Formats: sequence, C-alpha cells, structure tokens
Amino acid sequence: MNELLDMGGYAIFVWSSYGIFFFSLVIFFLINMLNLRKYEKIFNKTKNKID
Amino acid sequence: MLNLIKRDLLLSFYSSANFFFTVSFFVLILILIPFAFGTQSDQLTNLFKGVVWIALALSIIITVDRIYNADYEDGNLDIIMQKNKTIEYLVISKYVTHWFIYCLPLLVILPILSFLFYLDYLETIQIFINLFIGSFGMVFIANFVSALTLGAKRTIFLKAIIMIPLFVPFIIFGSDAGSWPILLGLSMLSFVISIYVTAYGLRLYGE
Amino acid sequence: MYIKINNNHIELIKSANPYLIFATIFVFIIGLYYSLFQSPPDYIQGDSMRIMYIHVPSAWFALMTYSILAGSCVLWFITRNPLFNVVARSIAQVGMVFTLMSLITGSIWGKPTWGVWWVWDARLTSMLILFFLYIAYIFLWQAISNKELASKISAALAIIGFINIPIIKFSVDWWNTLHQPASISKLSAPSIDESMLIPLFIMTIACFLFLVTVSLIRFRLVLIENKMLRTSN
Repeated sequence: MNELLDMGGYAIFVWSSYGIFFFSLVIFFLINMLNLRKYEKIFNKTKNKID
Repeated sequence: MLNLIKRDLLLSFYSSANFFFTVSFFVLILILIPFAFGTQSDQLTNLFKGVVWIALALSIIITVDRIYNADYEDGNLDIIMQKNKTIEYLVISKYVTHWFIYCLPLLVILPILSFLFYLDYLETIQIFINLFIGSFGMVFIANFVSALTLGAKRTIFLKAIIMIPLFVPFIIFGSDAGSWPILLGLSMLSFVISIYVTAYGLRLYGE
Repeated sequence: MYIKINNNHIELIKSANPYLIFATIFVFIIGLYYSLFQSPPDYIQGDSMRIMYIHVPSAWFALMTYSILAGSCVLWFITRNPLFNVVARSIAQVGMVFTLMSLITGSIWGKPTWGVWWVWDARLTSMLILFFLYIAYIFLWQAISNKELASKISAALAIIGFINIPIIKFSVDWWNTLHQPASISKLSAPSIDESMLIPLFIMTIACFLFLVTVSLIRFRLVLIENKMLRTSN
C-alpha cells in the first residue's frame, strides 16, 4: 500500500494531478446539474402562472 | 467610398488630439523598456524589436471602440448602409481611415524612436517594412472584432481577449526581420476573412 | 434533413441521464483501477507517466469538442437549423473544462519529465490559445444582450477561431525552430507499450461518457434558457 502511495517518488505529481482532474470534473458536473434544477423550477413556476 | 473616407478623416482632424494620443501611448509603452530592463544598449535594441509589436497591438486594441461605435450609436451607420447597397465599400473606407488615423502616426514616429534605442539604418528599415505590412493585417482584425462586438458595450477586456489570439501570428512573424512575405500573406488572408465578417456583422446590427 | 427537437426527445434525454451518470462513474472507476494499479510504471519516466492516462484523453477531447463546436456553427449557418446552435452552446463549456484540465495535468507532468512546469512548444502554446478561444466564445455570448444576435456573432467567432488554430500551430512551430530547437526533441513521444494502451483506452471512453453526460445536461439547460428568453420577450 505504501508503495502505491509513494508512486516511485512521484507521489505529489501523480496524486495532485488526479485530484485536480476529478475534483474539477465533479464540481463542473454539479454546477450544471444544480443550475438545471434551478432553471427547471423557475420555468415550471412561470409556466403554471401563464396556464 | 471617397466621401466616406473624407468624412471620417475630417471628423478626426476636428479633434486632432486623436493623433497626439495614439502616438503618446505608443511612445510611452516603449519608454517603459529602459525603466524595466536597464539601459544596456545591446539588450535595449533586442527588446525594442519585440516590444514595438506589443505596443502596436495594444494601441490598436484600445482604438477598437472607436471604429464603428460612434456611428452605430448616433444612427449614422443605418443611414450610410441604406445609401450604399454594398456595405463592403463602407468597410474598406473604414479600413483606410482607421489605418490613416491610428497606424500612420506610429509609423512616422518609429524612425525617431529607433534611434533612441540604438538601432542602425538597416534594422530600422526592416522593422518599418514589417510594421507597415503587419499593421494592415491588425487593422483588418480590429475592424471585424469591432463590427462583431457592436452590441456588447463597455467590454474592452473581452475585445482584447478576442483579438490577442488573432494577433499572435503577426507578432511572431513580425518580430523576425526576414519574414515579411509570410506577414504579407497573413495580412491578405485576414483581409479576405475580415471584409466578409465585418459586412456580416454590420448587416446583423443594421437590420 | 431537418431535425426538430420535441418533448419526446427531451423526455428520452432526461430518462437516460441517471444511466449515463452511473456508466460514467463505473468506467472512471475501472479506468482508475487500471491506470493506478494494473499498469506497469514506464521504463524511463517511472510512475509519473501515469498522468498521461488523464492528460491525453482531456487534450483529445478539448480538440474534438472545438471541432464539433466549429462544425456545428458552420452547419447552423448553412442549414439554419437552431438545433446546431443549441449543440454548440451546450458543448462549449465542457470543452473549456477539458482544455483547462489538459493544461494543468500537462504542466504537472512536465515538472518531473522536463524539469520545468511549462515549455514554449507549439502544442502547449496552441492549447493555451484554444483555452482563450473558448473563453471568448462563451463570454461574448453573455456580453451581448440580444441573445439571437449573440448566438450568430459568437458562432462567427468560433469559426474564425477554428481557422486561427492551425495558423498559430504553424507559426509557433516556426518560431520554435528559430529560438529553441533543443526542447522539441525532448517532447517526441516514445512508442507506447500495449499494457499502457488498455488504461488509456478505458480513460478515453470514460472522458467521452463524461462529455456526453454533461453536454446532454447542458443541452436541456440551454433549451430551457431559450424558452425563457422567448417568453420574456
């Protein structure tokens, strides 16, 4: 296990790049998902008012 | 077309501070070189050859708000476009006036500046030729960016972000003395693209 | 061929969403297992070359997304089908994220391999310019208040950017041979072993699934935005 964490001396580079990559993908996905939820809510409200 | 050129030139002559401001801006950017990098003469000469392009790019970027915006806001653009069935004439006249007002003064002042930075005659001529050809290409690009962003007000930073990537090839080939043929090709290419895109943008906003 | 988006299509996209999310996570986990545990370290670069498994797919998809973006802008001008505009606008931000990721991971990979964080080589520089093209496309659309105009204008800008990218690649290449010929030989890719191709392939599929998932979410978002703009006018 320690060997894996160490990554042959390149631990900081490998883990930081994987971390940044997946962190930003997840954040980007969540931003869009939450935005979609918000917009759908507002849209349904206005639609009900018009109806 | 000649009428349009005459009108724009007269307008700029009435407020003759225009020439003075662009030249001052250009000179002041170049004066910053010795302040930032010291006064060793051989280093100054090298830096001047590159920074003169950055100064030209910046002074074209800050004029991008003045090409079509005034005419668009006071409604003159609509009148001109109704009178001229082919917008391309208007576009070409804008190229000419924009180059005359904002680039020619810089080229005139360039030989004096190059003596301040210890360039010899041959190098001055080479830089002059490159700047002469490259400034046309940059003016074409500035024109179509101005026409496309007429609806986006107070966004000079956005315009700079759009324009600087388009200026990169000009700066690369411009700062090398012998590559003026490539620069000429780039300018021609940007003319072909620009005249089409500028007319497209003006038609969109003119409707 | 005129494709029109109706409610059935949107319902289909909506119902596919959870499966796509699940598939993306699943393939990413398999890819992580293969790229971090199963594949051997590189003969020369050691374990630092594991960064390749995320760097290369994101660079590929950054370029592919811009091609799709510019292509759909061209198709929109030719066919006048608003669907292409919606596709372009929904895919642009995903491309921007992939470009940024390929820049960051490439820079982190560069430190142990070349000893520096950044090399002024044609590929890296044109990637950086590509990032600014994405920014220009996205923010120009937001800056123009008339949204119908904004779509047309930013589409024209995307096409110009697509012409600009090869010119920049060529000019930076030329500039490099003039100034620093040594750095390019360092960048020439060694032939990839078969055991490294498997994780790379899985990660590419995972990134593609991510691209599709988020683009479809943004597709719905853009459609709702368009509807709201139409009702408010």
